[in-house]
Amino acid sequence: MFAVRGARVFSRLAGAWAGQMKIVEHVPKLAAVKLFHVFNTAQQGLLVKPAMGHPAWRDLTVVRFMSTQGDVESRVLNVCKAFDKISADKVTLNAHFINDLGLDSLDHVEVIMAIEDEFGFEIPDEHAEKLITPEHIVKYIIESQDANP
Amino acid sequence: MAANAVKITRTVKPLISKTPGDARVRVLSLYKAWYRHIPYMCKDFDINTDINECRDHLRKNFKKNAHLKDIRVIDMLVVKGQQDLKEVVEHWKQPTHIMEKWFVKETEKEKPKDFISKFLAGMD
Repeated sequence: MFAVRGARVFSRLAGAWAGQMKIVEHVPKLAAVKLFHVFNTAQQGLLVKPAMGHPAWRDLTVVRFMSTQGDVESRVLNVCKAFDKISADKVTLNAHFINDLGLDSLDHVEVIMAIEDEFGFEIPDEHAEKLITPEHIVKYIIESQDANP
Repeated sequence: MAANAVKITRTVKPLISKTPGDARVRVLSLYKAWYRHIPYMCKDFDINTDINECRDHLRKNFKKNAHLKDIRVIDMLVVKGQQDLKEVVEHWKQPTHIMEKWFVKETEKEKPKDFISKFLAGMD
């Protein structure tokens, strides 16, 4: 009796959820820590809560739309401004981390780590050492998003 | 004599990396790995110091060796750092090991300096 009722409820939910499937796309399984982090920070547009009653674990799918250049730029600049070793007013798209902003190579690594945390994907080290202005970072992120939709 | 001094170089077998750029990438990877692991280390080993202090300490240790130019020495230090990291990650180390290596100043007892303290401590 319960099982039948439960099945009907489940199928109703599943049907409603299937209607939402058009806009929600399952991303490849990230590590649990990263997925949780993405879920918690609730960046603009990165996580969309469908407006219907369902258990919270249903929200663990992440909406991934093609971020526009302006989006990516503003996020990268926000990360740089939030970094405590950089003075916020000097940050522009072409500000060189080491020459203009006065960071050293270890600080640069920390900035790249902050960017990784923000966008939720790993940047390998050989590529990371070439990203020395926010402009480069923006280009790299857009390229890697094109490569891994 | 000094004006005619020729710089003597030798060719030696590399340890792991063949160019300074290679060695640099390895050093920065090690820094990144340690940086990311520090919060977990503080949680696992119950270390009560602030995470940012630990990170400052990490940076100081890296800066201490910043003047080195010999790639083989850099490689060797990177390997030692990686071994250390492995030991911490796998919890083979104990909190005492970490405290003695990282926070020596806090755990060191002051040596007695005046006569009576030295006498009481048993130093001749």
